[in-house]
Amino acid sequence: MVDDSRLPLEPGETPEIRMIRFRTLGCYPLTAAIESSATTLDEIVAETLGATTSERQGRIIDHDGAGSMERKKQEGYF
Amino acid sequence: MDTLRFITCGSVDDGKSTLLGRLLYDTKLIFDDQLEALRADSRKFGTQGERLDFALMVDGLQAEREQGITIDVAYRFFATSKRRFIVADTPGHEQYTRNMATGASTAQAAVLLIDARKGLPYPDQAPQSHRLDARHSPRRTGSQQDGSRGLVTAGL
Repeated sequence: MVDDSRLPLEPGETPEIRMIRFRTLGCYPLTAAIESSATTLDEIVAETLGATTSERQGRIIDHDGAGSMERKKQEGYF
Repeated sequence: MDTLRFITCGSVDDGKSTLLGRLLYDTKLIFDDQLEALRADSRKFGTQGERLDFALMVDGLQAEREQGITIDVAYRFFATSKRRFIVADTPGHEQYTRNMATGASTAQAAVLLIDARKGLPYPDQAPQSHRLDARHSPRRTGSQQDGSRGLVTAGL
């Protein structure tokens, strides 16, 4: 992710290697990952069963004010 | 595992959406981030003062939130260890009856909600006229009165 111009580093930020997993498919800077050590399907299922947040938890658009998706549809974004 | 499809129906403002949101909340089927969003939405659009407005769990359209009513059918999926549920929250306004019928067309059971404080809007009409044919329901849905509102105890 370090070499992606869509996600520039802010001053003071340095790249760090962490084990992460994406819970939904999409453009990664907007989809957001969670920290995860799961390496097998069973481990992913176990993590998902114990999750306290929904799979959309990191989706940037959901934090863009209520109804942002509906508004974008009306504006012809989709 | 069985899947039960049901709807909530009844007159406007009798608490259909609120009942569903509350049901999801009480059975701990709302994730932390969804609850946080509900808190923020309740502050912005809520009709319950400082308290959570559970209707906003299912009334997601801007027009619904601004007017505090249900317009479109909203489907929610949830499951318990015994059964899967697909519930359709339907509008109570007469002008949106068509949307209610859309939700009812695939439902096996219906929860008819009547606010006992207000009674039926048209007392001369028998409530049977609103009752769905529940022949395909795998299990009878029971209900009990809790205060002034009917609270569902649908064999969860």
